[in-house]
Amino acid sequence: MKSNQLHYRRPLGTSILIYFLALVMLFIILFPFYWIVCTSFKETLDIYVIPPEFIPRKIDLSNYMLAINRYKVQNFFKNSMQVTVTTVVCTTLIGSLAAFSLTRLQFKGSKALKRLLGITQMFPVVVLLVPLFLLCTKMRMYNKLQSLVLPYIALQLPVSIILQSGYYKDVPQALEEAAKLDGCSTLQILYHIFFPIVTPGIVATGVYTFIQVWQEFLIASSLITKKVMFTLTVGLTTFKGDEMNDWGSLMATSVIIAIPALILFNLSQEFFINKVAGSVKE
Amino acid sequence: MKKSLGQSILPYMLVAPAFIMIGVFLLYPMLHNLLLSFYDYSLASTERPFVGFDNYVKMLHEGRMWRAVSRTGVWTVVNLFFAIFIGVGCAFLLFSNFKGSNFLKSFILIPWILPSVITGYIFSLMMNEKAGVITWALRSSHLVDQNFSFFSNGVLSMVAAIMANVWRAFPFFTLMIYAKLCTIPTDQVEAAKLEGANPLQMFWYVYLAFIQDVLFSCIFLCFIWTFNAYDIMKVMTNGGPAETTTTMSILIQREAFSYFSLSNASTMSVIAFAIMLAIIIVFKTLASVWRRYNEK
Repeated sequence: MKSNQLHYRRPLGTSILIYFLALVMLFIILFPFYWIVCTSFKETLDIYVIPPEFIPRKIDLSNYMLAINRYKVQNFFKNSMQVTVTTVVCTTLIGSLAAFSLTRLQFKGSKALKRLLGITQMFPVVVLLVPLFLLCTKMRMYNKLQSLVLPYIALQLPVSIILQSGYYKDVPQALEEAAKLDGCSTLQILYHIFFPIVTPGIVATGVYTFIQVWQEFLIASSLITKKVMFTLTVGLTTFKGDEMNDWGSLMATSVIIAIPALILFNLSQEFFINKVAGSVKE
Repeated sequence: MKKSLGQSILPYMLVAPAFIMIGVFLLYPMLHNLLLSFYDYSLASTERPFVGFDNYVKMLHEGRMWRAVSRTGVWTVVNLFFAIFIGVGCAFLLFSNFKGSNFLKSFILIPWILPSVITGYIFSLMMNEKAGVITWALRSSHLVDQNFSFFSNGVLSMVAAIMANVWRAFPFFTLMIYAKLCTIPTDQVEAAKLEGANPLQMFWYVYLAFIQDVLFSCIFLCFIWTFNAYDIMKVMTNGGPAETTTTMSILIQREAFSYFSLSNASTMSVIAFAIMLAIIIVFKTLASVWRRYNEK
């Protein structure tokens, strides 16, 4: 047990209250998620049963089949994967070079650039919509996936650079000096000394970017109008019958969308809980 | 040691790709948007005359924009209030270090990982008039009458969307504040205890004072996100019923991509951005005054 935590002995009443609140918190966090999974296994009529069935009677996969056969989720999935992976790879690599340069090399203007990164965090996406739309038509990218990838890279770069800077900063100066004495050039130092040490940080930053881009909706729904080019989040909005949403397939697809993000998150949870939290210090 | 030319331009070459991307797809659109607001720009006609401040004059007389601004205000304030309150509360709950707090901690980020569009849909389903489990719970406990429906009027629709958004936003506060709390120096806590501070005083003068900087940063970030939030509102209410939940983001997006009046959308987004900046400046000033006052 860490010594700096509250660890004086508590009266029984307080303990009970703490556990009660913790259970409420756990329930509130998990229930909506459970409900997505639960609904995805129900037949359409069962979704409307009152009182609701809290445990599905049987695992019915027809919603998943419907999502694939009727709504062509695999198509949206492919688009989303393409957009997200391209964005993550480009953002993380470009961001890594910039983070190295900003933290480890002295040059004129580096302070101004860092401040610029902070300022861009305030830009609302909705302000960028119209100009991005015009830019895309001008560059003949309208309704192509590039029209998403390029703005995504630009939007994700500032955070990616800020997060990665934290890792580059942590590398001991002595290692760099030693390599310099051995006659390594700056690029060799970056490649042989820094990259191996900061790889975990680079990967974790990539995961962060993945989660952000994977769920993007505003730009994707505004710049893409052709259904075959829709990403998953935009594809979800097409799950409509004549009168109501097709809740079963919608929830089945939600499960499909949530899985990649949850898996990646699970693999890098330590990072999120320690590093992302540590980076907002100011 | 003199640097060679290659050595001295290398730092710039390394940052160049990143800042070129940011320049072309972030800074340029930002400025272009400002420029567009001074033209009469619509996709329907090829003539796009310069009109000066006409768009702004027109928008300032536009009732639906001001209604959207006030709705965005309500949306932001209520969301922030609950997200901070619940988020900080949960951070202290985790910090009380009960058995199983690590278990709870590993789930805390789920709402934040789940794509916001899905959050919107699952809350719509749970609050659905016929199939909603929350609606059912409220009805069967007789807290509301049997025809109760969340999406029948503006206030309740807003409440529904705010609930979904708070669910999504509060873990961010919890995690940030909890991480900060874990670094509190033991001697500070011990010293205050020796001086006989009661729990309330401990909370106010020791813990809250210690986390205030992180809290301000979180409020700042969360304010920007909430003010510009789009996904949840779009999915849950789509601005309805009868435009009663149309916030600025929804209004601007619709103006641009359903009505194609691009200069209107640009003008509105400049106004929304200006309002946001003004609030940020006021907030930052207040925060620094508060800090100076506390240091004395």
